[in-house]
Amino acid sequence: MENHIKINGAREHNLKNIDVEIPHGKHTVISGVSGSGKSTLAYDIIYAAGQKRLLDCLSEQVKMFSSQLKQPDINYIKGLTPVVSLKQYKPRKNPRATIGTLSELSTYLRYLYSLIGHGSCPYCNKKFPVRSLSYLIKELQKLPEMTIVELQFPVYKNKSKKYDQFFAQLRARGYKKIEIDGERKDLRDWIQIDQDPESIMVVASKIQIKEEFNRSDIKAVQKSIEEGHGFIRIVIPDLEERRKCESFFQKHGCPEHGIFVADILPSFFSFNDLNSACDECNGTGITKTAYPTMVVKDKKKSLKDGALFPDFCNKRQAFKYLRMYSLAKHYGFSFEKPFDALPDYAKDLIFYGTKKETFPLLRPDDYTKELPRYIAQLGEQVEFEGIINQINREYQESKGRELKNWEKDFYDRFMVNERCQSCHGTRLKPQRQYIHINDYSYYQLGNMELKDLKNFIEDIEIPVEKEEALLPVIDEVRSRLNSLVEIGLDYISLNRRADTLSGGEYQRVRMAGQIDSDLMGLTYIIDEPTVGLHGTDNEKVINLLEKMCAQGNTVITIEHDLDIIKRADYLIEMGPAAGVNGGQIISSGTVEEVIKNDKSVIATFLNSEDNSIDDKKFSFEKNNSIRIVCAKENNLKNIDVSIPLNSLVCLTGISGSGKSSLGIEILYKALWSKLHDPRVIPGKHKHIEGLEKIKDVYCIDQSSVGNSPRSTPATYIGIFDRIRDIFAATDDAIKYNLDHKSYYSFNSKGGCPSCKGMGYLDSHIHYLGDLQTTCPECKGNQYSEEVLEVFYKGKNIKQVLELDFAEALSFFEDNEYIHHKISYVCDLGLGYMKLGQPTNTISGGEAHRLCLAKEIGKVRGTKNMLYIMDEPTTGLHSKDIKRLIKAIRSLIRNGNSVLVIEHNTDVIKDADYIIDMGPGAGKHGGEVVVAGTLHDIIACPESKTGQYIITT
Amino acid sequence: MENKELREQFKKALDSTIEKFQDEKKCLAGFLIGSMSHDLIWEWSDLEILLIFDESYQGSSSYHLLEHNVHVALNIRTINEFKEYLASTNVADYWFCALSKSTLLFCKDITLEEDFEDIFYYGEKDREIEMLLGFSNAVYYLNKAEKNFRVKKNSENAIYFIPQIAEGIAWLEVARNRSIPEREIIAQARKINPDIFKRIYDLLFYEEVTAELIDQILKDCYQYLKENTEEVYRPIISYLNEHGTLKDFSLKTREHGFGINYNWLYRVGIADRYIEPIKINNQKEEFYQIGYRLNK
Ligand SMILES: Nc1ncnc2c1ncn2[C@@H]1O[C@H](COP(=O)(O)OP(=O)(O)O)[C@@H](O)[C@H]1O
Ligand SMILES: [Mg+2]
Ligand SMILES: [Zn+2]
Ligand SMILES: [Zn+2]
Ligand SMILES: [Zn+2]
Repeated sequence: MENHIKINGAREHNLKNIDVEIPHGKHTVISGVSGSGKSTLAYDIIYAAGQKRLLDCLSEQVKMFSSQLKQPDINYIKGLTPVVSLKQYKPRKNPRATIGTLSELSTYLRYLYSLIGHGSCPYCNKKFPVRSLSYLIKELQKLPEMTIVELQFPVYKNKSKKYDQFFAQLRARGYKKIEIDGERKDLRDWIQIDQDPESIMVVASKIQIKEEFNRSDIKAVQKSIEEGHGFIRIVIPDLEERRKCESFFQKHGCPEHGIFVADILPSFFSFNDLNSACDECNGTGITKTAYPTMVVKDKKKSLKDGALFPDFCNKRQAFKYLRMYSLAKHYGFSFEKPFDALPDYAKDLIFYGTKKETFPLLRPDDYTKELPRYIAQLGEQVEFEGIINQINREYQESKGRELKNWEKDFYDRFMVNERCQSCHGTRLKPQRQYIHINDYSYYQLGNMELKDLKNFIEDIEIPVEKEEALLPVIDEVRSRLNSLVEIGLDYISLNRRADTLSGGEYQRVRMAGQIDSDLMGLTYIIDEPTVGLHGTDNEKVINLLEKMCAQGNTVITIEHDLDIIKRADYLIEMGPAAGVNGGQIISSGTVEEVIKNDKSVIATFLNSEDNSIDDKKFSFEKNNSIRIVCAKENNLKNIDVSIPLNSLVCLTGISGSGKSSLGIEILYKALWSKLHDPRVIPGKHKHIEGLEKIKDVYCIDQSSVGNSPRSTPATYIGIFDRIRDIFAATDDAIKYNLDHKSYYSFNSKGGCPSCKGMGYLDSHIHYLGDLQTTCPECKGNQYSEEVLEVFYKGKNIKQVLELDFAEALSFFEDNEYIHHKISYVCDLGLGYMKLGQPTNTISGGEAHRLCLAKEIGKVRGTKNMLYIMDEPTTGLHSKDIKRLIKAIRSLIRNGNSVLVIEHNTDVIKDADYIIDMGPGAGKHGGEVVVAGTLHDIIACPESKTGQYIITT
Repeated sequence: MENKELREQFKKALDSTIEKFQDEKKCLAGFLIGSMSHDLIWEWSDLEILLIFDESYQGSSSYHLLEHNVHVALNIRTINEFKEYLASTNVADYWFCALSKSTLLFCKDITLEEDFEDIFYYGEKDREIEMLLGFSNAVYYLNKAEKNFRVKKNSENAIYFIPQIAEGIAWLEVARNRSIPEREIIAQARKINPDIFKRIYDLLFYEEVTAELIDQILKDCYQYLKENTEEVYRPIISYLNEHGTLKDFSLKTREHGFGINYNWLYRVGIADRYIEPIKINNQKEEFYQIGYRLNK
């Protein structure tokens, strides 16, 4: 193998026919201002070439695709090894992916539980070992011969199921007798239940003890254990006989309740296993329930004029309309007054119905629409179950079949997620909580922070006879835990849903997974691994990267963080500027070599010992601030936090210290809930003083742009509509009869019919995932041929989308609206971005700034807004950060407030007020270490942030 | 009268057959079923025996032997098959009826004997459900008979349905009495309630069947059903009393004929009908389903 990846004559995008060498087995950083060509080099050259190579080695069938894959525009590339990319993106919404499943730790822990978990009696907590079926049978055979043994097993009913149904199902499974709290009942009689019993046992069968069980006896025991999900109750009805068996009960189960546990398999704990998942929520841990205020469209309107969403009452659906009218008349509340003004009992009737009472159907004088013939007619008695009840009932009934999209939308609109009532969020059937290791159930273990979990694993005592089976499992668990802890994720827990992780955290979990896979000889491309990490944690990432290299891999990162750059083995600096002004390598080599290179831009930053701290004047005014009282969400320790308005406030602290919990979960969601959507439930806190001072809130994070391949920056900032109008009004358009703007949207009439406007086709190849090939019909142009015949100022619509923002600025000079919007995008350093670049290919940092540009483009006139930004410097070169701060300052000058969650020292130094969270992560964090100006922070020896700023 | 010699010959055949199995360790139990157990035998009767073997049994499930010149029909089940059968069976099953009249010849497994005894427990819930099912069947055929007679003026078809109404009523009577239904169920029910069958069934055989008679029989059927409604529909009426409507009502019945007829309550004026909107499958339109509630 060569010692280098050699790339010769790279010309993709803005690259200027460059030659690059990247050493194998080392950590190389590609740096440079935004838009200089870092990603192009890493992804469009190295990654693309790696993919194509890989496919070329595979079968003929796959080759067909590979010949259509876009070939990177280069002379040659040599010495490439298989390439793996670890990009940053928010994980998709999926309640089934957790840190446990993602890291595969769940798999190993399940195995551990099945090997050394012990059972506990659901009724008295007594502990006893889990046996295998064959062992239990051997022991049963040792009981005195002729003893009659009755086999029972415990069953559990879902909250939403009715007892009648539950019993009928047991009966249908062939059982005739049950015991409810010890009282025997026959399923062939009526069984009345007034209060939820503590235990329900099914009487399964009887066997008689003999020296050698026959197959039917064994089958009986096995079936009871299966039906009891590992739990069986053994009853010896004859007291005399029972006494002789005492030692059997003492040794293997609960002597008082006769409970035994056998045959626990790893799948027993998997919520992705149908047999183990909670029946009610299918293993998601959440159920949906309708929420009253959500069905109200406008509480200032009357029922008559559309207070409710039309799904529930509208003039066109005569029956619903008349029924609502009749309800109001019958129960004496107003159909015409604003919903707001209705008394509580009226709202209760509307939401929860008449509780089986009926009332006559009436007609208001001014309503003439006829009722359909087949339904209740005027004067007939009707019933109303209430809107909320109806939604909930229909939702329950729809379970177990595939929902159509409109149904999903319907339920999403009117229902909220709730913790499942049956499994209390454990996602598992109830029996699972009675298997423990050192007093922890599998679910409880999943709630532990990883560093505690690490200690827990170390404390497990391994029985000698199980060593052989156990040690490999424990080793796997240990090494996986170590990787996660070492990379700074020690504060998360296995039950944490993957889709609640930030892009950076998610990337780090996947990085840890790579280390654990022990693969070697790969080339990794990693996008900004330090995002979201406090400066003090950077060391952890560096260690991990070094470990990957040491395993024999080549690591290429795209980074702006100076800490990482300083520690790189090799540095490639792209530049000098963005777009057409970039695409060159301005310096490369070891860090020392680059520092000496006077063409290098980064050299000045690497050299700078500039630690000057501006002495900013800032005084905290109580009546120009808000105050969060008793914040308790996640790890927050019941704290009060004040946030000054009309200033730049920076929320700092190491990852997991509670920044997002405070800034997003509480502050943002409280505002959003109050101003827009009452379904949003803010994180736990008592109240927020001064909330009324904020007119609206806007949260800018990496996910706000959306990642649809069908959306573009132009649509996102709201200029594409205008551009299509311009095209629809051209002479060409009128000539060809294409004078409607829908022709200029590739998602609509104008799109190429073969690829539906995508420009490429998706193919799926087994093992390789999705591949994209250029659409042969439009050759990637996305539009149908005729539409491309329409020109404006010499360019057709596709060519306009190919313009970058800097070019578009002059192209649309004479259109004030478009020009104005574009100028903000350029101001934030995104001039190199194309108008038509699919948003799913935009990096997190770019998305952030695009979002910011859009907002600033709107601000004129709006005041008293609160902008909350989650790590806006992601993806920004030190030079770009200055621009960002300028943009933020302009928001504040216009009378708004900005709260940023940030680690970047440049931003921290520029902030008016800093709130530093900590001191540690998870349960060791959740407090405000210090709050005040930069000086206050630096002066505080407990503040990790302050100390970090001093040392850099 | 039964031929005494024949019975003796059958007895011999039974004894010699049983002797061969009783000592076999793998054969756990034997039942005598069919005519010899509970009825008269004649020259064309056969001798039916059910044997239960342990799980190692490999042979066929039925054999026809000739023993002392008697046709012996052997049915053989393994213990698991038999226990599964005992778990799932119900009064509508042919074997259930046969077993209820069988004679236990021998049994070496005490748990099996208990399981066997237990299937004949007639619970109150089962009793009421069977009454409802018999009743609903009778209503179904009554509707058919009435339509043919009163609307289509087709007496032949009307007469055809009358014995079926009677059968439904017989099922009800037998269930009310907690008896296991037999094959000749009308005869069985007549012992319990002779009067009703005299009026709706016997007349078909002993009188000239005129239009007046059919009319009278149908009226009597209706009258009988009406009078029994409150008792038979007790579970439903009491649920309505407590909950107002049947929206959340579920009464799981065994798969049988036409299920429970709720509309009858409306026909006899006990319940009133109203409608409630429902969705069907995932069609976007709303449909209206019939609901019932008590007439106040
Ligand atoms: N959605 C969540 N579910 C469970 N725990 C969470 C969730 N979000 C954050 N946490 C936990 O709360 C603590 C604070 O996290 P967070 O507010 O994200 O800190 P920061 O923003 O400073 O990184 C951590 O222990 C974290 O694991
Ligand atoms: Mg965070
Ligand atoms: Zn116990
Ligand atoms: Zn659940
Ligand atoms: Zn196409």
